[in-house]
Amino acid sequence: MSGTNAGGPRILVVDDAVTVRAFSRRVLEADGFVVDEAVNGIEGLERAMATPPDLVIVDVNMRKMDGYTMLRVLRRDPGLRDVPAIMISTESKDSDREQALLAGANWYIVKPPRPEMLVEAARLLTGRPPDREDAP
Amino acid sequence: MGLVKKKAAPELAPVLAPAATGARPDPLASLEDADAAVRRDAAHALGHAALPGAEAALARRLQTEGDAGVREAILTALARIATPDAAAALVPFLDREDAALRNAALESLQQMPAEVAAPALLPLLDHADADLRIFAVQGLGSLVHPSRADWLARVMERDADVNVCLAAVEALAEAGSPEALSSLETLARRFPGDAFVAFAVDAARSSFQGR
Repeated sequence: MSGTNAGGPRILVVDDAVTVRAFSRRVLEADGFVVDEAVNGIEGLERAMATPPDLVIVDVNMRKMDGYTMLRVLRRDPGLRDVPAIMISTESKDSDREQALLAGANWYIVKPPRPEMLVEAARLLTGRPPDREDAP
Repeated sequence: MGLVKKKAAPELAPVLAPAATGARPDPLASLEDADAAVRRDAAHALGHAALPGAEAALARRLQTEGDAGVREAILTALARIATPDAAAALVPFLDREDAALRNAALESLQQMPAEVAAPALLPLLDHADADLRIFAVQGLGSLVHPSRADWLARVMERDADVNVCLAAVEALAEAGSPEALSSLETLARRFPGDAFVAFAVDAARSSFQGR
């Protein structure tokens, strides 16, 4: 898995809201993930290209480059096209989910993120097994 | 979109002054030219010397414009014109399916002086669509205005949508607004059990208290 290190799978959180980035970092690091951050799509792409993550979590509405555009660029990059992506947004309409999936998202979370949902989606998309007590 | 200063530079106005040759084309008409470079130049010219009706013409073109460079020029022009009509012309774009366009429209509004942008954004706080209310909060939260903290505090105390309230928290936390502490506490009580709200309120509270 690209970018994985001893600390666990690497997740890139791309959001212009500092609170969302900080919350995601706290929740995901507590579950053993390594978290990197970017404040918009352009910075997100730069970071992803410098160190390919195992998962990106990307907001929709951001200045400079929105999340849809970032995902579309990501999916065209041979080195990053297979990186799984969660799109996270305040927008909960079916058309928003559809637009996210069309842009290349593998998962869609409506804000505010619930910690357990964030962790479960991250585990699923990075191939990490669920907690032992959750296992069948 | 490109950045503009809050106020247009008056020394740039002569760009549109009638040329001695009289050959300079009408920028309002050129906005509809088939050549994207001509449309971009027209938008640029209108941004430096707004003609009557420029705001409506720029907004009309923006509705269908497919060239990214022309879009950017139009949005920059409207931000530079910065009249109430220019602000009002941008508001409908906050509701567009195109995320890049709606974010760029918000950015243009944020570049306008507060006394121009606020009257266009404030009515959106009562809009039925929570996503539009979030844009209004983000726009108002970025303005330098004496009522800014009051607007955001009212959102935290009254808006029914948690994400609208959280946008207000984010805006307040960025600038540090200790006078909004009581509204923060109200918000925490309104959404008990929401881990993200608790986290955001705690982070903002710490920020206000300088910790």
